[in-house]
Amino acid sequence: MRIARLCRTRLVGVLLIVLLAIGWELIVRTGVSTSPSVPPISSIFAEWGRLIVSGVIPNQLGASLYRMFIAYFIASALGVGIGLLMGYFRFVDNLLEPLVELLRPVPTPSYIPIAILLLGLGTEMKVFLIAAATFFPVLLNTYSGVKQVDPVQIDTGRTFCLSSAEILWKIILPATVPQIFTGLRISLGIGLIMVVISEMVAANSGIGYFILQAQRTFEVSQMYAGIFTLGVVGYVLNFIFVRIERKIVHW
Amino acid sequence: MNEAHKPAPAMQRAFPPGTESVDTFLRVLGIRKDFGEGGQRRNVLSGVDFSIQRGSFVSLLGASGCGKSTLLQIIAGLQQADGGAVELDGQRIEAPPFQMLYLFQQYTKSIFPWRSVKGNIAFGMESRKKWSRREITQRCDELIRLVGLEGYGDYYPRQLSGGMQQRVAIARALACEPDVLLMDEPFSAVDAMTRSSLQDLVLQLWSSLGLTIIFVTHDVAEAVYLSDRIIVLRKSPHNVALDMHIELPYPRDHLLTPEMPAFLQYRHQLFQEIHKAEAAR
Repeated sequence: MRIARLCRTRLVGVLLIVLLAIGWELIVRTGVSTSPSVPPISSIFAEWGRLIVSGVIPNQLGASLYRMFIAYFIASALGVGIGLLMGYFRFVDNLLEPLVELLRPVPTPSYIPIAILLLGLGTEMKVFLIAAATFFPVLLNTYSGVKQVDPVQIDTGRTFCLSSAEILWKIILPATVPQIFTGLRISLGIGLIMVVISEMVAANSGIGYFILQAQRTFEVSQMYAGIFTLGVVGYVLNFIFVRIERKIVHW
Repeated sequence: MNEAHKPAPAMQRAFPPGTESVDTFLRVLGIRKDFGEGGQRRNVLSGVDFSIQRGSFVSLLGASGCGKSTLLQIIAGLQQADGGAVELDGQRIEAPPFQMLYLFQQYTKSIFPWRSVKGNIAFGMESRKKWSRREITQRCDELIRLVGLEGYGDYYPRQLSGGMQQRVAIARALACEPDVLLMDEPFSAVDAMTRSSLQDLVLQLWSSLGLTIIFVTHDVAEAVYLSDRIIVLRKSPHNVALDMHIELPYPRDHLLTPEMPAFLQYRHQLFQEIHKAEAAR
C-alpha cells in the first residue's frame, strides 16, 4: 500500500537516483570495477563539495554562464525580431527564407575553425558560436507561431483600424508568445551544450575547460564533479525558465 | 454619448424596397465577388444592390453559401469586392472605417485570451487615441455594466462561458462608439437560452445607442424577431431575392412577439422565399 502511494509521487524518482548512486558505490567498493577512471561516488561528492566551497566551481560556472547568457540574449532578441518580421511580412519571408533554410541544417560546431580564424580564441568566438546555435530554434518557433495566428485575430485588429505595426505589436506578438517560449526553452539547452563545446576547444576558464583540464591532469573526481555541476545547472535553469514562462503565458 | 448615439427618429417607418431616401446612410452598389482562379473560379456575389437608413436593424438572410458573410466582410472593408462599391455616409469604403465595427462569428478567437475582460474592452479604445487612460478605465466599467458583466472585469476569457465571451466582444466594439455594427451570425454557437438573452441585449443597445446594425443569420425566426428590415440573398443569381420591412412593434418580447400573427406571416413568407431560391438552383 505504502509503495503504491510512493509510486504516485516524484519521490520514487529521487529514490531511483539514490539507488543508482548506492549501486555505483558498491560496484567500486566490492572491486567489480577497478578502473582508475571510476572512483567511488562518495569521493566524487566529497571532491565536488570541496570545489564548491573553495569557489573553484562557482568561478568556472560563472565564466560559462556569463558567455552563455550574453549569446543567448543576443540570439533570442534577433530570433524573435526576425521571426516576427519573416512571419508577418511576405517580402521579408521571401528574402530570408532560402538563406535560413540553407544555414539552419549546418551543425554549429562545424563553424568552430572559421570562428577561431575570424574571432580568435577569446569570448567573442564563444559568444558567436553559442548565439549561432541558439538563434535558429527561437527564429523558427517564432516564425511558425506567427504563421499559426488565427486570421480572425488579425481581422479583429483590422476592424478596429489598427496599423500593421500595431497589429504586429498588440496581436501577433502576444499571440505568438507561447511558441516563442518553446523556442527559448529549446535554445537554453542548446546554449549549455554549445558553451561546453566551445570551452573544450579553446578556453582557459569555464566548466567545459575545467572538465577537460581535469581529465588531462588525471583529476578524475574533478571531472565527474564538473559533469554533475552541469546536470544540476541544467535542471535549475529549466526550472526557473518554466516558472517565468508560467508567469508570462498565464492564459 | 456623442451626437451619433441619439436614437434615430424614423426607425419604424417603412420604406418600399429599392426606394432611395434622403436618409440613406449605407449604400451597397452592384457588389460582385468571385473566389478562386481560372477553372476553379466561382461567383459568390453578382450585382448586389441595396441601401440602408441610419438607425435601422437589417438582417441579411439566406441559405449557407449564398455569400452573406462575404458581403458583410466587404461592407466592413475587410475584403475587397471584384466590382461595385460600398459607401458609408457618402464615403467609399476602401479599408475598415472608423465608424463601423465587425463582430465575428468566432468570438472565442476574436477576443484575446491574454487580455482580461477589461483589457479586451479597452483594446479598441487604446489604439484610437481619443480617450485618456482614466477615461478608458471609466468607460470599461460602464460597458461592463451595460452588457451585464459586473464583477467579471478581471476575469480572463478562458474563465467565461461562450455567451459571456460574446458579451465581451460586444462591449469591446461598443467602447469605440461605432455608428454601424456588423454582426456575422453572432449567436449561432451559443445555447438557446443564452441566445435569446443576447438577442434582447443587442436590441436594447441598438435602440438606446441609436446604432445601425447589419446582422447576418440563417435563422429565419431570429431575423424576424430582431430586424426592422430583412434582405434575403439567393444563390442563382447571387443577389437580392427579397427585401422586406418587418413592421412588428418594438420593444420586442420573446413571449409575445413570436405569437403575433404578423410574425408568423413574415416567417412563413421568408421560409417559402428561401426554399424557392434553393429549388431554383
